[in-house]
Formats: sequence, structure tokens, C-alpha cells
Amino acid sequence: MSTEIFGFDGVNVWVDGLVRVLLIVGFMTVVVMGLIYGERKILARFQQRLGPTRTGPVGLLQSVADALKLVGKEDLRPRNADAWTFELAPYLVFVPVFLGFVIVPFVLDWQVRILELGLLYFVAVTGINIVGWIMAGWGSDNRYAMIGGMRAAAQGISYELPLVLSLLAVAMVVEVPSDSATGESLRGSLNLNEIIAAQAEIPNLVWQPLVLIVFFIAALAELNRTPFDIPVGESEVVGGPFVEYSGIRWSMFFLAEYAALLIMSLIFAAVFLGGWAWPAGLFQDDPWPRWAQALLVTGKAGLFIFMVFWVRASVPRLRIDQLMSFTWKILLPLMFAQVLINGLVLVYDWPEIVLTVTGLVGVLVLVMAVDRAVRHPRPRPAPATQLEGEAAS
Amino acid sequence: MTDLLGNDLNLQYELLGPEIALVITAALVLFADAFRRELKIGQSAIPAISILGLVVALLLSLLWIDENKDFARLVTIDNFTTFFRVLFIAVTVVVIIGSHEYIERRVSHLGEFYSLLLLSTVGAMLMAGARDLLTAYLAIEVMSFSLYILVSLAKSDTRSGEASLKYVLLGGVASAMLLYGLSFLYGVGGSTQYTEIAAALSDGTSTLELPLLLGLALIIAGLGFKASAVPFHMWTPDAYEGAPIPITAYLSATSKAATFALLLRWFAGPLLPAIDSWQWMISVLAVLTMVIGNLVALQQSNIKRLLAYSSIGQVGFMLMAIVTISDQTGSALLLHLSGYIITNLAVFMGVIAFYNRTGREEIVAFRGLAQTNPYLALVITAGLFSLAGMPLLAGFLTKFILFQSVVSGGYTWLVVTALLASTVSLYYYLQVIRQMYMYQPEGDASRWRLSPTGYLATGAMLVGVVWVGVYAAPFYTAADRAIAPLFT
Amino acid sequence: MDSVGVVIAFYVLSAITIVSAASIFLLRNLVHAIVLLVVVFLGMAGLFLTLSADFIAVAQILIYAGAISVLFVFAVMLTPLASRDNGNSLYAGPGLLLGGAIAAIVVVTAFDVEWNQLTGVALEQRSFTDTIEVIGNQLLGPHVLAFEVASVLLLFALLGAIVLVTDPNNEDGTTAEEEAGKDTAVGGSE
Repeated sequence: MSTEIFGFDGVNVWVDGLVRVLLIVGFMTVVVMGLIYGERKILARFQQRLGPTRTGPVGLLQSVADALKLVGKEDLRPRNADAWTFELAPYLVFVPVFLGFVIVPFVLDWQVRILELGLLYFVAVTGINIVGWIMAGWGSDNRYAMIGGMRAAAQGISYELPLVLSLLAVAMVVEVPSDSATGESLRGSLNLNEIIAAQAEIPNLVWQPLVLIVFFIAALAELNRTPFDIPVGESEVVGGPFVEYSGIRWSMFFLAEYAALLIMSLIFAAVFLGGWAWPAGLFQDDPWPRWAQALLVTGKAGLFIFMVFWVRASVPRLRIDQLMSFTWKILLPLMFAQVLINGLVLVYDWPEIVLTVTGLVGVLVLVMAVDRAVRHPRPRPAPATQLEGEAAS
Repeated sequence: MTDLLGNDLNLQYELLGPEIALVITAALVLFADAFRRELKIGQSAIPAISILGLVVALLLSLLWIDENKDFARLVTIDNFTTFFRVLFIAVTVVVIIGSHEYIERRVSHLGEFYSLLLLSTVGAMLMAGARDLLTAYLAIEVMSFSLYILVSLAKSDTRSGEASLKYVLLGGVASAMLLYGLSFLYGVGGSTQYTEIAAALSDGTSTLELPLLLGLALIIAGLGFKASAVPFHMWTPDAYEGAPIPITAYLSATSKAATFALLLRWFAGPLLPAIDSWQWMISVLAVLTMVIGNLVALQQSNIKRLLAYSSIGQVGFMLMAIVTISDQTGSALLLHLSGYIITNLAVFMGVIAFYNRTGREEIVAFRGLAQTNPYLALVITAGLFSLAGMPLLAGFLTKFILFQSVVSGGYTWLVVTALLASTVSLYYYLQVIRQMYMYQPEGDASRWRLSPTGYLATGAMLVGVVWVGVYAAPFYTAADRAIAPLFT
Repeated sequence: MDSVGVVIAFYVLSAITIVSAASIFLLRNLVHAIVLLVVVFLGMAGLFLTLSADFIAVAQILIYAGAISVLFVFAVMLTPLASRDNGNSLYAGPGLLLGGAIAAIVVVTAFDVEWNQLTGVALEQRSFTDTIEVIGNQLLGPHVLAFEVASVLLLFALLGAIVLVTDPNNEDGTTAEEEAGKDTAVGGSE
């Protein structure tokens, strides 16, 4: 079978897929290095210092220098570490993030593949790197690594639920142009292109404010970022599951973390802020030229990334029990209520302003719940009973 | 609304009234238990709520007597379903009433216990009513999952967790085999609906022999596990011994009855055209179960294990009715099931009362019960004699009718084996009775009385045992009317 | 029939799945076995894709590779070291014979029957372009009972898992096993 790519007709489908994947890999590596540098600079500015300034102009080559250093390091492996698990874990963390890039729409008609199941696929591959974290933690033959790995997995699984529900809430009410003769609009799509196209006039930010905030929080947790970075908290478990890794292996984890950040930001831009379609659709019906769309998407993704860095610089770390109770007792019920309301709006054809109003009410509830938790913090729980099994030995 | 093939679907939710009522009651029980202090209700309010819900479900299911409707082509509501709904609800009510103090003393999670019991009943009711393979499988899983957990709830006994683990592991494997067999049946029959599979099988092409046989073997293996047929019975003694006694009673009653309801639905419905393929399989199963169940019971020293093997033996008798399946054997089977359930519950309620007083389960602990509590000894004796098949009690009449119908179905050799096995079983039932009546009580020989709920439960079951033995006509007509929809 | 790419993909995926599945019970180390189980799950997802069941494939990855394998890993890592050895069994010989016999039966059945000639009532309705929409409509329409029963089942399974582990009589949630000390073993009096 053949398809066209970049204006070349008749290219084999497999070759086409391969080319796109390679382009993505290249793009991603460059951007990730830029993100690492960006984080250090922005964090530094928040903390009233300069950040990297020496290597290259304004410290721009810092990431390159870091990469060179990491490549040159010795590849260590603890003697009692299980060879297969230890060495396989970085790949299990790294590859699913790449897989996620398959469905991300960069600009109109440019992505690796357009899948009808786009969002579901994204959610599915985000879940695979949880196994990687546990394997990294266990394979290191290090108590702290194992604790970190277990916590990372528990956090990852728990926050996957609000993440999925938030994406579901948006996918439910997306208006899809129907191609049937009756012309009535269909609702509900997992196809990212359709979700973006439906936001040509108004981004989903307006209709689903609560969902946006919950997605942001859940994405922070999935990325193991402050305030949810207890698995990799430097002051507590010394780097968590990644403590025994050095050199190239560690850099793969690091790369995976920033690549995941990039992909979350792109999904966020696509689902909530309108991707390449808003505000282009406001002014005319034709889509804007490719470069303008790329700038739009970059700006929106950059906004998300900046907010992530901002939160990192400002908010202290949550304890593991606070983190877990936050998702199960606050985020999850709010998301269930949101999905219910979305369903009611769909079935009974209520005006969409109901969504905005209830969303804002939900945001208020969330803020009040967090405020109450901050004012009356739960006492620190009693020390856990002895860990069983391997960790006790 | 219509399904994929354009058939009209009946979405009348009132048909599922009993199940919905029970699920709502289960949720209410959970809430009541969680907020017990805030609502200021005592511990005995929880079983009271459960019984209230069960009574409501019973009334709702009686609404559909002599109707023949289906819900979305997934569940049939006919006399067969109504019969089993009433049976399961009655079993649960009796179990809750009779084991009220036992649960308060020895089971730690009160609300979860009752809600899981109610959910298990829902699963059993759906098993009896399903007309679609997927619904039937889901119902099996609902019933089994609740039972896996219920078996583990006697937290102070280490055997409880072990029993639950064995049950879960073996049950999981059996479920997997069942599902694989069902997928073969789907491949051969082209649909998951019972009626359509029956149509596809009776057209029959010869290329279907092998996958059908394979599917049947797997299905019979999976269901044989659920029914505790030999050689799939190894979980039964351990699960019965480790579980809290009310759950043992429930396992021996509802779990078996639901499996047999399912067996009747499947083997008189979609699998009837293939009867030549499975008749020999089930007769082998029946013989093995009867013989081994009764023989191994001879060596038991714990009353719960004894009753476990006795129920395995009874399953063997009941499997005979599946071999010669017809409306006559079907109604005999339903009658025998009801009699067996009433009898088993009588014995188990007695054992619970005994355990509440003495905390012991060995058969030798029953010594001298005739002197310390003659009423309880009478109840247990009546139940055991009925299981053995003594006249004037339920067991005799139901066994007689069952054996008679199997003989008229042409399998006399099975009945001969059953009679021999029945005679053997008399020995181990008499063992218990001997301990109660022929020995002096050890230790504390003062007379003691049961609690009011104990009297209620055991008394009702004793009356039931005698009633079915002497005047079984109402039960017989009920069984007849119940089996009729399967054979029209 | 299918295009060359799909056929090659089928053979590659089947080889991966079968070899991994066989290695699961041949390996000594249980954690390696779990990793191979994840590979088997992913292979199955790929095989579903070759059958154009896209939703099932993605659901397989989401549920099995994403959640169930995490459960397996947690369970294995919390057990003592000794039981993490997927050791020899006395029944290896008879087990292999029986397994071989069953495999032979299943393979003969699979090859002997012409599966795509069987048309039952439901098999007539075969061509969907978009499986997820059809599955969604089926689940929430005609099979709504199964959907609701499954959701109740999942709720009580969640509940039961918590109940299995905790004992409200103990403050810190340990089981009562440690308190009781009764060690009568079940199954001794057979």
C-alpha cells in the first residue's frame, strides 16, 4: 500500500511510518535538551540566581555538555542487581513515551498517524512505564530504590484515574461534524484531530475549567514532578528508583521524563487550548499557514511547560499519604461528578453554559478542599509496620 | 431499541426488580455499617436491614409467577427463574437468622459480610435466569467472587485465609477453563444466545464434532468445579472447613443450587442437541462423585469436612438427573434440590448453635448432646437421617422420586450405584448420631438452650424437613411448574 | 488475503508471544517470568491489531500491560525471597505429557475445522469500520445488564480486596493471624 508524504506520492506505508518516526525521534531529542536547559534557567530565575551561564552564549550549550559528560561515564551495575531487570527498566520507561508521540497532532495533517482511538491509545501507553519504574526500583537491589519504585508505581496508578477521566470528560462532549445527510452533530470522539477542529471557535478551557485543572494536577503526578515527586525526592529517597543508575542509563530516564513532559504539554495544548485551531478559526474558516500553526502550538505547549516549572519552584512536596488521599478522596469524586454532568448535558441537550457554571463550581470546591487541608493538616500517620519480603532482608 | 441483528429488545427494568432491590440493600448495609456510630444504630440493625431487603426482593419476584418474559434477550423471567429466586432468597434469610450471633462474635467485617452475602445471592439469581452465555458467565463470577471473600472472613482462624486462597486459585483456573469452553461453544454455535446455539447445533454439520467435544469437555470441567464434582472437588473440604460456618451452609446450599440451575438451563437448552456427546461424560462424573464422595466421608473427624463430603456425594445423585435430562427428571431434580437445601440448612443451623456454645467442630465433641440439649440433637438427627434417606423425612421422598425418574430415563445402573452409595453414607451419618445419643457428655453436662433466633431457624428447618417428607405435593407441583418452561 | 506486511507481522508477533509464554514456566526467576508475561500481553495486543480489533488491542495494553502486570510485580516483590524461585516440580514429566496432549488436541481442532465457513446468526453481522463505536453502543444498549453487573462486581471486588487484608480489631491493620497463633493445617485428615 502506498501513501503520500511531504508531497511525494506512492511511498510505501511502512517506509512512510519509519520516516515519520525517525523525524519525531530527532525532533524530540533536540527539544528535550532545550527543555532541560530551559528548566534550569527558569528555576534559577525564580530562585533569584542566574543558572548556567558559562558553557556557550548564555549557557545554551549546557545540555550538550551534560550529555557529553553522561556518555563518558562508567556504566555501573550493583553486583547483586538482577541483570535483566536492571538493564531492561530504562527501555520500559523510555519506549512508551515515544509511542505516545504517534498520535500527537503537531499541526494540521501532520502527525505520525491519525488514530480514531487517539486519546485511548495515549492513555494506554502512558500506563506501561509504571512497570518500568517498579522494575528499576526492584532491580537495583537497594532498599531506597525499591521504596521509591513502589511509591512511584502507587502514585502512577492512582493518578492515572483522574487523568483518564479528565480526558474522557472532554472526549464526551466534543462536537464532531457528522457526515450523514441529516446534518445533526454527533458528540464524542477520541480522535485528536477532531477534538482540535471542534475547538476552532472556543477552546475547551472555557467549557471544562475543572477538567483542565485536574488534568494539570494528574499530569504533574504522572510526570513525577513537584509537588508529587516523592518517588524521586532528592532529600528523602536520594533519587528513588533511579539511584543506582549512572551514565547513559540514567540519561535515558532523564530524557524520558522530559519527553513525557513534552508530550503531556502537547496533549494539553491539543485537548484544552485548541491546538492549531484556536484562535485561527475565530478569524476565518481556512486554517492558518503551517508555520503560524506551529508557533501557536509551541506557544500553548510552552505555557503548560512554564506552569510546570513555575509550580516546581513554588510548591513544597506532598507526603505519600497526602498525595494518595488527595487523588482518591478529592480528585476522583470531582471527576466522576464532572463526567456525570457532562453525560446529563449530552442526554438532555442542556445548553453548554451549564458545563462552564458547574466547572467553575467544581474549581471552587477543589480550592476549598485544598485550603481546608492546608489549614487543618492530617497528623503524620504511625510508622508503617515492618516491610515484608525482600525489603526487610 | 434493537440489537445488532434487528431483534426488538425489551428493556423493562421491573423484571429485574429483585436483583436491583438486593444490590440497593447491599449498598445500604455498607453505608449503615460505615456510619453506625453517627446513625446511632446497634449491630443487629445490619442483619435486620438485610432481611428487610430480602423480603422486598421476595415479594418483587413473586410478581412474575407464570409469566414468560425476557429482559433485553439476556435474562429470562419465567417460572424456573422465579422458583430459584424464591429458593435463594429463602436460603439467605435462613442463614442470616440462624447465624446472627455467630457472625457478631467471630466475623469482624459485619457490613461487608452481609453485603457480600446479598451480592452472592444476586449472582445466583442471575445464573438461574440467564439466557445468554456472557450474562451467565458474569453471574457465575459475581457469585464466586463474593464467596471467595466470604470464606476468608473468619479472621481469628488461620484455616480461613488458607481456605480462601485455595478456593480463589482453583476457582480462577476453573473459570478460565469454563470461559475457553464457552468460546468454543460460541465458535460452533455462532451466537451467545441459548436459543440460537440450540438451533445451530441441531442443524449440525459433521465438521463441528471436534471443537464441540473440546468445548463440552472444558465446560463440564469448569462447571464440575463449581458443583464440586469429582475429580474437581478438592477445594470443597478445605473451603468448607476453613470458612465461617454460615458461609459453609451458604456454600452447600446456594452455590450448589445455582450451579445446578445453570446446568439445567444449559443442558436442556443449547446443549440438548449434542446430548450424545456429553451424556457419557456426565454419567462418568456422576459415578465418580457418588462413589468417592461417600467413601472418603467415612474417614472424617470434623463435622464440617464430613458435611462437605456428604454434599459431594449428594451432588453425585443430582448429576444423575442431568444425565437423563427430561421434564420428569428435571422436576425430580428441583424437588431433590429443595429437599437437600432444607435438610442441609437444618444440620448447619444446628452445628452453628452447637459451635456458639462449645466452640468445637469435631464429631467427638458432639458426645452426649442428647442429654445436654435434646432439641438440638433432634434437629441434627432429623437432618442427618434425611440426608441418608430415611422415610418420613425429606431426603427419602426426594431421593425416591429422583431415582425413579432416572430409572425411567433408562439408566438403571446409575441408580444401583446410587443406592449402594446411599447405603454407605448411612454409616457416617450414624456416626454423628451415635456420638450424640449413645455416649455420656464430657465435661460440663448441664443443659443449655438455644437463642431465640437459633430456635427460629432450626425449628423452621425441622418443620420443613418433616413437611417435605410427609406431604410434598405443593413442592412437587412447584417443581413441575418450574421445569415446564425449559421443555416447551 | 491480507497484505504481506500483516502476514509478516502475524508471524513475528506469534513467535514472540509463544516463545515468551513458554519461557514463563521454564525460567527459574519469577521476576523475569513477569517481564515475559508483559511481553506476552503486548504480543497479544499486536495479534488483536492484525485482526483489526483496534479497541480490544488498546484495551489489552491499558488493562493488562498497564495495570495487571503492575499488580503481579507488587505481589511478587512483597513475597519472601524463597518463594520467588519458579522451581522444579516433581510432576514435570507427567505435566509435560499432559500439556503436550492438550496442545495436540487444540491444534488439531484449530486446523481441522474450517472456522470461516461457520456462520451463525451473529456472525452474519461482520463488517464494522469502527469497532469502538459499535462496542460502546452494544455495551450501553443491548448488553447494559452485563455492564451494570460488571460494575457492581468490580466495586465489591475492590471492597473484598480491602476486607481480605485488614482486620478492624487491630489498630494498624495487620491481620489477626499474628494474634491467633492457631496453626491447624487444613487438608491433614484426608
